Amino acid sequence: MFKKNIKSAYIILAARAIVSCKKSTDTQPTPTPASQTQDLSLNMTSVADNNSINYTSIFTTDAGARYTITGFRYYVSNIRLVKQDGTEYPIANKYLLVNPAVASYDLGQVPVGNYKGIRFNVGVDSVTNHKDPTIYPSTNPLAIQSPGIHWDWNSGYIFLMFEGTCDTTAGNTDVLNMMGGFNHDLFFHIGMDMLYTPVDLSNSSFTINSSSAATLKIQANLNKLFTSVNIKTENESHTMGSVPLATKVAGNIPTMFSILP
Amino acid sequence: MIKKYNSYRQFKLLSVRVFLQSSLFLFICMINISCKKDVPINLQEINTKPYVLNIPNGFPYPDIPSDNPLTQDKINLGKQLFFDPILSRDSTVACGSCHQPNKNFTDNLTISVGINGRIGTRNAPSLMNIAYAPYLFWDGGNPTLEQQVFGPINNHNEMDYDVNKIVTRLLRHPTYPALFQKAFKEPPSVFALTRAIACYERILLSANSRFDDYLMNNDTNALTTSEKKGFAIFTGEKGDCFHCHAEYNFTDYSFRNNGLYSIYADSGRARITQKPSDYGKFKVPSLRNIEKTAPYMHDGSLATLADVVNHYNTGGKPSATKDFLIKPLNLTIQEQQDLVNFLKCLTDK
Repeated sequence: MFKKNIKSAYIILAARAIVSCKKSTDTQPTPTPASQTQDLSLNMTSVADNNSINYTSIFTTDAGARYTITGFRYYVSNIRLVKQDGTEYPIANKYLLVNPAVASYDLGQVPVGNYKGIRFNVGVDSVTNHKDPTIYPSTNPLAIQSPGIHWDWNSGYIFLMFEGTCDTTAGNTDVLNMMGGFNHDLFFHIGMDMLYTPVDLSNSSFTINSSSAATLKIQANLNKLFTSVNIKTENESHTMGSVPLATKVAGNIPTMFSILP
Repeated sequence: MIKKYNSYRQFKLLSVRVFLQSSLFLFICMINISCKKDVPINLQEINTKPYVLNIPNGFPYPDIPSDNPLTQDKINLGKQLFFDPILSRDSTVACGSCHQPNKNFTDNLTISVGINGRIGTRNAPSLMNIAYAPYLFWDGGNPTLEQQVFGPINNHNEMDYDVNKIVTRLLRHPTYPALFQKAFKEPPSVFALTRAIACYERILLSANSRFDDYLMNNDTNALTTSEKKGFAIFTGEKGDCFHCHAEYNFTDYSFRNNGLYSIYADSGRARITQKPSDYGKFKVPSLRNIEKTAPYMHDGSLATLADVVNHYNTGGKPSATKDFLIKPLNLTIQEQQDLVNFLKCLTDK
């Protein structure tokens, strides 16, 4: 009886699998003719206001607090180009792990035309967030990274990871130590499904034409991440254990980004 | 009273549930495999010699992930990795350093010690019958044995290393590449490393105590009078231990605040869920071989089983999230001793 159950279960499973495959091919959009598409890359740069970021300089928040950077990475996913009519062209299954050391991120072929802008999320969707990260080949941004950007103790990805040091003295009088850092750690590991953050850059028109590969320049201003965050006292969050601070920092994420001409 | 639990009736229901769960899992996996064009890892043909688990009498068959069927080659490799300090930054700490087989896969330390003598924050949990655990760690923050492997590797106070760097080490090792090839038909990888260790951990099954003789093999002489009295307290209204330490593995896998403290240094389950209602809650551990796993509690703060029984007898310290089942038991000195004696008959022969 058990055996029979298993057998019929397998038949059903196989049938369902075929059906679901067929369905997914049916719903795929009709391929656009090759001449109508063009390769699009994102050029992702990071600044602290007017300065390019690096791992050796001292930076100053808009509130006047000094900090250094030792790491800054974030996931970009759910990328959609906003068409002139307001509808979206989704770039499916594309996950970028943005790192200041790498500027260019290929999005593949997209339809040529005029766009109102781009939308994406910082982080990964909840389904992907709770998948086993070991299933990806090491070249996939979702694979386990070195240094890591995935939590093992509360399984899920760190959506945005900022690490550095900050000067917590009242008069900004601390001097850099031998390691090139200030007296206090400054880190924000932002994650968890609830902080999967949408970014809307749909009021910066751009055109993708058929003659040459397109590049869209997106800048992240790190200082915007610290808007109304007093890093002299609010300087550590693993999200879990300090959700209010993580939520405040994540709330600043949409304001970080702008499209450059 | 005792007869009520004679056959672990609950198992039947449980095994049906496990079957349904695994079918559903298979179903999802099949769809994924059949539709996805870029199956990330080649899953076929890695089960060279299928391994059949020796399931203890009265236990259900555990849920085995479809991407990690048990094979003898993977188990052998996983066992070798489990006891190899190559997984730690300075090659001094292995999984087996804190999970020692002769101590029921614990270390008998209050808090476990990692590389450079670094002290962690929690007591090493046993790995016996871990195949049945629906989540890992005292707070349940990790969902599978495969992903759990990262926990101790990444933890600063444990192995403090990086799984990609371990893979690099294994690729350069004189013997590991061939063992991975044999077990997985591929060189060392994060996927294979985590699968091998999980395979070894899943075969750590045990239910070979005098209590099992008594309950499952109907050997009425297997327990002493005191142990039988202890069992009656354990399952009866008086002790009500069986409420949480339930079924074949003596746990219901729930999270509970057992009143160990009023204010916890470690917020437990709440660290994961962020819910104030989970403050101070930790997973209910199995009691099998509990005699061998002293000290007790998530922080190893109770040294002996007598201390543990005494703690529950007092009803614990008050807090908003303390479990309502934890209340003064009013056990006599003799009854407490009977309960301790019963707990000791859960030790494998």
